[in-house]
Amino acid sequence: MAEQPSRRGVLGTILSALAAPFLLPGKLFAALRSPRKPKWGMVIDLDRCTGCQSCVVACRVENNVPVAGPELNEQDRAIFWMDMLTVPEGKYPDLRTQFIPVPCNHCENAPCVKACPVHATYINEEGIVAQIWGRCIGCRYCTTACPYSRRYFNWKAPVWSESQKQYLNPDVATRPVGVVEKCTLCHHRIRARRMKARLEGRELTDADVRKLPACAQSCPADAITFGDLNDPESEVSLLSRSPRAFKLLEELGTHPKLTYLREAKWKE
Amino acid sequence: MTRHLPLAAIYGYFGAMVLGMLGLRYYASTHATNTEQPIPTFSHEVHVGKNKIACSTCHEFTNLADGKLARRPGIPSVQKCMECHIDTKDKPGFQLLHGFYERRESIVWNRIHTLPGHVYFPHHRHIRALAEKQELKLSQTDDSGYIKHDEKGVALGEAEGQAKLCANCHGEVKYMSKIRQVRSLSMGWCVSCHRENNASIDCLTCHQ
Amino acid sequence: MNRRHFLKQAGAAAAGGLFLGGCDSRDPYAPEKAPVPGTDAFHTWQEKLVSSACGQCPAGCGIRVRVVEGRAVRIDGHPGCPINQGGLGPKGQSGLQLLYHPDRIRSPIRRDGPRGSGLWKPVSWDEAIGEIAGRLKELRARGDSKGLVVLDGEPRGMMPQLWDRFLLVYGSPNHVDHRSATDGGKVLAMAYMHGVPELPAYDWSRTRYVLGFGASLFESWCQSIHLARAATQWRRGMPGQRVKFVQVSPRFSVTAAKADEWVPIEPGTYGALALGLAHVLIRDEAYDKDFVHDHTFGFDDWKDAEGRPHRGFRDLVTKDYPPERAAQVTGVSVRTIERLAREMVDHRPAVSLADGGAAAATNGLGTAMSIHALNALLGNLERPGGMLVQRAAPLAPWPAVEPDAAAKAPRVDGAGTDLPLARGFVQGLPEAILSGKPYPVQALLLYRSNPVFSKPDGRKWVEALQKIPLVVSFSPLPDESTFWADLVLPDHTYLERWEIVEPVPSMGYPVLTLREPAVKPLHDTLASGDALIRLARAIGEPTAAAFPWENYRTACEARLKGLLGAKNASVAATSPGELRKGIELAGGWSQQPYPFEQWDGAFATLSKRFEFYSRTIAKRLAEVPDLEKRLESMGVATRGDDLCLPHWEPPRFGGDPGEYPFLLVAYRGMNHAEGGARHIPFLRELPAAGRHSWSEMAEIHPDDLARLKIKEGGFVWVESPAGRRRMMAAASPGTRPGTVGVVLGNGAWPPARDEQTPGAASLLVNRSDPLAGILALQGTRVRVRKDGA
Repeated sequence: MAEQPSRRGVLGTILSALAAPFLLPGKLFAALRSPRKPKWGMVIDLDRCTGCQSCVVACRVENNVPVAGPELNEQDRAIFWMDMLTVPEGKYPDLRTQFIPVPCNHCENAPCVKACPVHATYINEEGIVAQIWGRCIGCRYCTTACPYSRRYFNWKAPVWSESQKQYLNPDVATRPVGVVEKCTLCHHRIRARRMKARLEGRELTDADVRKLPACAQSCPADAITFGDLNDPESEVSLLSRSPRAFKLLEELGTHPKLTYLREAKWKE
Repeated sequence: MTRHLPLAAIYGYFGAMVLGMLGLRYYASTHATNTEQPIPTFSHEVHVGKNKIACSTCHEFTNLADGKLARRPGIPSVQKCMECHIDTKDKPGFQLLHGFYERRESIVWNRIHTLPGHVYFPHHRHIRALAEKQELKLSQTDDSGYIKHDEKGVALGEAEGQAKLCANCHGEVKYMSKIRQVRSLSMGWCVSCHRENNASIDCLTCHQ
Repeated sequence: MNRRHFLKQAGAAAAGGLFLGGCDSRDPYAPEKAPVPGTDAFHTWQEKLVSSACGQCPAGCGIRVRVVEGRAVRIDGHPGCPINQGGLGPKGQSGLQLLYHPDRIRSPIRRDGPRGSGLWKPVSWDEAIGEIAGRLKELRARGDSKGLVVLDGEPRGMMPQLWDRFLLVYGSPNHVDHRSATDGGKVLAMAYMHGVPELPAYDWSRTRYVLGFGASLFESWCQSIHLARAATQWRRGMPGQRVKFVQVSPRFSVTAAKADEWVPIEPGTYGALALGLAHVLIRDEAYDKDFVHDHTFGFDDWKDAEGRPHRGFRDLVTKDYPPERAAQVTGVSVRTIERLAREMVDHRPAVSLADGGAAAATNGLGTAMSIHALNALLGNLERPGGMLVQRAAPLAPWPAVEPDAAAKAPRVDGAGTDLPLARGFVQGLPEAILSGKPYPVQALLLYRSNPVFSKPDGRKWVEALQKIPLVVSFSPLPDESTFWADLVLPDHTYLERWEIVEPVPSMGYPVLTLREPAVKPLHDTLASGDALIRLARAIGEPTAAAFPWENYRTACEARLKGLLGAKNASVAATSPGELRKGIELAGGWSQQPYPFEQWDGAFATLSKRFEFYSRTIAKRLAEVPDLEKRLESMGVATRGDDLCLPHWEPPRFGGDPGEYPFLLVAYRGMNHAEGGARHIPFLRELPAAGRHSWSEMAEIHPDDLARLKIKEGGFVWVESPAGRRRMMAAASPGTRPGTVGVVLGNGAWPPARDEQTPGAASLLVNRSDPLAGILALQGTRVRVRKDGA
């Protein structure tokens, strides 16, 4: 007859099983879990930004954003996934101007996602607030809901001349008239880079993605950093814990994954 | 007589069905698509079915083995056609081909399998996944990365297997003298296959 | 078979890719098919990254162009290039809109009707070049070779050197650049005080204090992208220990907003402030005495060989520019002047620098020299963190040529004769052409130049162009000047040609980038270097012998050989092929570190020292007959030794202050260089410029707008004695009250032939520094009138 496990033995086994996650070293435990999904985030250092707007143009080229032209631009209907806000303050000669590059904040508690009646916008498993153009019905609830005005409606069908069509990025679909579009954190670049990494038999590293989106790559001042917020050692995580860090309209509780860095202006 | 009537009817019924199917098949192989190609006599049936040439011989970015696997299958260039047909001029189709070659023009094939522009469909990922699933034997390549073939240029070995892999979406092209679309290529069809194979069904996986 | 095995087998398969789908034509709401022609039919899916060099501005950043199936679809900065280190500016990003511009001229064209009729006929390259060669040959045969003028808009690199060579052999002194209308002041200050006629360079990474006089470091400084990267280093560290950047300017620009401190100042008075600062440094004995003693000339009073006493810089500054006077002139308080001087001393190495546009006034040369002199007082020349002289890369020289005697004739623009201190005087050309003095201009070649649009007196330029028997433009796009040309030989864009790029000076140590074609030429165009070589051949002797190369690329490659085996080079190579591959990989060629404190070769002046008192100026002025009378007639207030020293005299403005109450502040923005980027839609639609960015804007202080009862966004006429222009009024809190800010280079696209004032430059009264020929960008008064009133 097999020896019955003692009551104490059973209890001990259960307890140790329960305690295992806490006793095991953190890294080993992480390895035991299913592969961790990244959570993409971005940090923009306003002290470094020189207001050149290279990120704006880089974004428009990369993502096939059409040029609005004089008329639509006058109506404030030009599309800038990456926008440059200029905030002038004061009166001559006591002046101050803030230049704030604003892409989509990719909120964790995104008002636009709640507003969408057709599930055309949702937060994907890697934290990207995605917009599925094909599903969008153009109701523009999301553009109203977004407190940062980071969503753009296509008021007109994009027009490219035959020669201009040549430079369109083949990795990004063009959007038709009547849908809302927004920043995708250059999802197509993440995908391509991940594919490349896998072919080399590894997963994405922080160095792979640090300057991955078009805006971050083009920034001459190195002010934009991209990376995985779930990795506490990634540069974007470290920077987002900086004492200079703040988020746009934090008080709304949207929990943006975009962090800004700025300190008070140096005065004598 | 009357006793055999039901049997005759049954034979007749099934016979007609078989005939009908054969007829449909014949019709489908000739008329199912009315897309006229620039070289109307070009036939996958001859290339794949009769001569057993591997898909990746011409669609060179579908070859798992030679490191060129890419997002797009690759439509062969006229240069590729001429590798075999440089000396064949005996049929009108070949004359058309040589015409393109002499004018240094690309052949503008009419596209049969199309997906909307907002869909991201990488061939390489699908080929790899399906090959893994079906445990297919892959292209055999020589040291320089070319597919081994016999004196007639027929790829050795894996042609069958690879064609079977591609057939998942493109149908049995070896029976098609003219390529036609056999799958709906609709989102529902994509998603059902993704579900079956535990592939991601996050919207951003395919939508771009 | 497991996954790993597949991965191994697949190896480094081409990553990323192209997918193009068609859409169902029955579904009207289906997104458009990615409109990439050709690929639906034939896709080999070839993707490559081409290493090249940007050509959207003279900075010469290293780039990598993503080319998919022969189409360039993306330009990014080359991470290895020492200039931009992976970043790229908005102009560089939008280069594809230039390459694929629908308005590009597709083949050489010849006028097919009267001048300016707009009727053109395509011709072959041989025919076009043959025709020009015939005309130039005839010109030379009848001894009129000096009547050929080349207007060259490229500041540095192979093409200006090829033009020089061509004109030297052909026999014309008239290689006119645009310097006098852009950053001529800085170059002349360097030429007369350092002996090096080139823009200054700085050790950006080690400096601790930057005092900018209107220096648009982050907008239109020639190396704005490098500066953006350098400024990220300035921002490191705690306040008090890190770099402080102070910007002095009348207009609250982007650079001023990004500076640590902004000091507003009266327009045209930078020189007085610099001399006021120098006064404080000398008064407090805070200047670098050792440096001034060892390496400068003309600080103290001195006597020349004949025993005549001359005034020194110390005397001039101590007597004439006490801070109180500087404060009165500039509007900067005495306290601020004293503080800035103290800060500069406390934060050494400190540099003082001016923008080309800042020194562009009727007192331009004196102003540029004053700002320049501060660096010598602080003893930072040729020292880490200080001001440097750009060293040239050791490119192999082309074989020497025999200059034609006519190449030594006086220049048609009067530089060196009528304007004794000028090195070029582009804005004086229309007058010279129309008057036919000193001699008539017989042929004009416009290389990267559109003077009708970018220079003052646009209408006068049109008349002048019509008077010249042969006008040839090399512009790849139609512009205001090509309208009046006889022949247009369209250039390749920078993404289609092969050449060595010498970036404008910035870091001091030699840097080169290599421009290689990213795509095949889209149209029947030809690199102007090739066109010039073919032209030289077609003319025959003597120019043919001076251009022995097969094409422009081989001419460049011949020079690259000099880099083989260079010491301290970033790319070590023993063969040309290896060198090219190395440069492609590294994103550029450089030779670091800079040879600091090598005093032997640092100054090329007559005294072999830094000259506060420029002996070259003294020599040039001594050659002018009737100097006193000339100065009187030119309206120069300064006399005697002061002319050779850094000095300041009140700027003179065109227009009566009663009639024209506003001062025009013409500046260059990030997106519009003076040549204009108005044909590039991405640059005309930048969000910081607001929703009216497509319109030309007159930036006016809100109080002035209210006084004039003009609404923001309403149209106004900005009128100067030179011309008038309809612009949109923009309320701009950063504009100094009493001034109107206008960005140069903005304007209509496609260009209009009949416009009276083709660009904002036409508002400028054509005034210059009377001796040095520096165009006074800050020298025009205007009035603002409501449109329709």
